[in-house]
Amino acid sequence: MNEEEKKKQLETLKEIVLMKIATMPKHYKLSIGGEGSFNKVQIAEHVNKMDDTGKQILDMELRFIQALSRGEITKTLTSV
Amino acid sequence: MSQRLLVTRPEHDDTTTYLSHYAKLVIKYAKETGVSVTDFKAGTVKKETINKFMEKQKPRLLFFNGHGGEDCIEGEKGEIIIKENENDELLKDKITYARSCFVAVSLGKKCSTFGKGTCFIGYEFPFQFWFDETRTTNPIKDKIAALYLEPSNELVKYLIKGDFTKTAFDKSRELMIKNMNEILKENEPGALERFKALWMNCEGQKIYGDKETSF
Repeated sequence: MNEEEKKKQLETLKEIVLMKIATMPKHYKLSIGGEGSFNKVQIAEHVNKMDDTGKQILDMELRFIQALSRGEITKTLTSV
Repeated sequence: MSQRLLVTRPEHDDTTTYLSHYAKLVIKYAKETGVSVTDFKAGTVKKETINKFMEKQKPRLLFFNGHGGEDCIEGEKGEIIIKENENDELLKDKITYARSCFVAVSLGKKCSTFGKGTCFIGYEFPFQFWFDETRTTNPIKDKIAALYLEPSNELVKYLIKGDFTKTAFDKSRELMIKNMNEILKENEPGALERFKALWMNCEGQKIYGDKETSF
């Protein structure tokens, strides 16, 4: 993947995360260990800033999407 | 080696407060089953205190709650209490469950070199959970957080009951998968995001060392 494609992938990932996070109830927060805990507004801020927390959130989304497309999640859900 | 459970419960932010409150449930269970428990509560989870205790009393089962890194487990406000290549030999001949981020990546793996009787269960990704901000004064009543923290608590309870480490690991994983399926049945906003966090914990939970040892 060249730099341009990587940039486009990142922007798409950001859009996906921001769209999904917007659906969270406003009184819910996500604890991400030592990074802290964040409501949806704070998560969106970190993702838009692309700071360390924002990058971690995007990394988790990418892992999830990759696992989904490889069928790993279905395999896990049906393993018990 | 003493048949003792050591628990660390720092409380200096939302995350550690939730972990601490849920760990109390495990402590209650342990005491009810007659297991000796040493509870390092908020304010006491310091490197010197913990290390001295571990050297002297040699507790068999360790339940660390708090933050961490790839090569360390933290106590109070970022103080490192166990660090790879510094005092990791304290984990030898112990069963360790670290409810901390990333610890399985390196410190956990190191435990697999300590031979029979040593086992480490922890996470390669951040241990994460959604919680209801309106419930922070009583985390145990938070049904959102419970989906993540109850399977984690049950892992320790299975170990206390005497299950082999791999059995406890697998049963805890099954509970996470059961909760993931429950979340999928919901028609609530944000269910997919809550599912994703639980899936990350499930995938990130790793076991190293002796998988057929027990408490």
